[in-house]
Amino acid sequence: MIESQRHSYHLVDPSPWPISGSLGALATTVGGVMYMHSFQGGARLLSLGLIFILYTMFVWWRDVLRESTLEGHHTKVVQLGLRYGFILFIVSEVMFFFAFFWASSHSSLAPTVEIGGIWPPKGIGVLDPWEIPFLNTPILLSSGAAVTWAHHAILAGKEKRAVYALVATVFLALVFTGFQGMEYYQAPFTISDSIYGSTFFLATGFHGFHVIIGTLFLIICGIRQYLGHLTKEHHVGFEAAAWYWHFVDVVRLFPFVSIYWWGGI
Amino acid sequence: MHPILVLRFLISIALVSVADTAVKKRVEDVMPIATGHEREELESELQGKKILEDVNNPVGPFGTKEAPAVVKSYYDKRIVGCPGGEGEDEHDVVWFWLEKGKPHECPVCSQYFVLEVVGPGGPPDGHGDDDHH
Repeated sequence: MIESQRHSYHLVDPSPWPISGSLGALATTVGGVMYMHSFQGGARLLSLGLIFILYTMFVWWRDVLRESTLEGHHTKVVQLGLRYGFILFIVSEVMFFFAFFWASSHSSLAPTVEIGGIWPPKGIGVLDPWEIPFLNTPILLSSGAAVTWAHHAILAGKEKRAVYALVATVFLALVFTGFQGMEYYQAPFTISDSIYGSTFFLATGFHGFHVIIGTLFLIICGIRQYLGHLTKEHHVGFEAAAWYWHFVDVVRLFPFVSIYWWGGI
Repeated sequence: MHPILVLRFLISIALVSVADTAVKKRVEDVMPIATGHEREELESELQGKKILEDVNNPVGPFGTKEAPAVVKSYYDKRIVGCPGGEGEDEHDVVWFWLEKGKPHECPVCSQYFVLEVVGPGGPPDGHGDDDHH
């Protein structure tokens, strides 16, 4: 409860970013359709839209950081709302991935005649789960351990150590993405090679994309930790990044067990 | 004054001031970079200010004519909800305007409310109050 404003809530100031983000989304979808149908200028409009969205994301989040760290608008109740919001976002992400594993299980548990009635489909050479996939899983899990190390360092007020821990977390994340890129490059099938390729690249691809988002989130947290924005009393941004990272960690186990391992035998 | 007495006096002052600084925690000790409303919140928390919480969540024993439920308000009137009594006597929340000097009796459970103005008073509609939100 704040005496000077008589409540604890953050009533945000007018901002241009919702409309700029919407225009970026409009340009991206229209440009995307034009590009995919080989219209002239499609690629240009698509790129413009994506740049607009990325710019909006940058300045909007920059404003949120200013509101919290420099203007002190994030009171206890505002922090609580941010946590609830982020947890609900992660729940929606869980449902998003659930759909891909449903598709994969649907197609593999009762393989149709079109793919030879077997899984993996006839003619598909799969990746050995005990090579890069098995190596990459503990790399990502270690990264999850490192982010917990960072969390404990923040709670203990060890500012430098928290930065080191976040550097370790991001390093392991980049190694994971590097190996994943190698695996894609060497894969003997593509996304258009039967339902196997489609479900494989949809699930692992979206997982990899989320790893990249989580890595960016953690890099921002590392920079903010270095700048002294995160205190042991108030570090909602870091908490959100850590939750997201654990989510990405857990999601990795499903493709490994059900797609690479079970689906590859 | 006897020099030993003076010394004693000085020591006692020193002890008192040491004790003082040890008890009073400042916002800087808890969260040095806190600013704005976040800082205000931490500060009032450290000073143990309770009155604001009472304004936010008015709770207490069932109000009667003899001992009414006192609801604190920054202005001359505010919206209040009556949930009835405890357990069996609970009812759906009934909302009403509670005004200064006009006690309200709940039409469902006859709980009795009065308003206590703890703020600047006046109308709560916020006219001419656009600069801070």
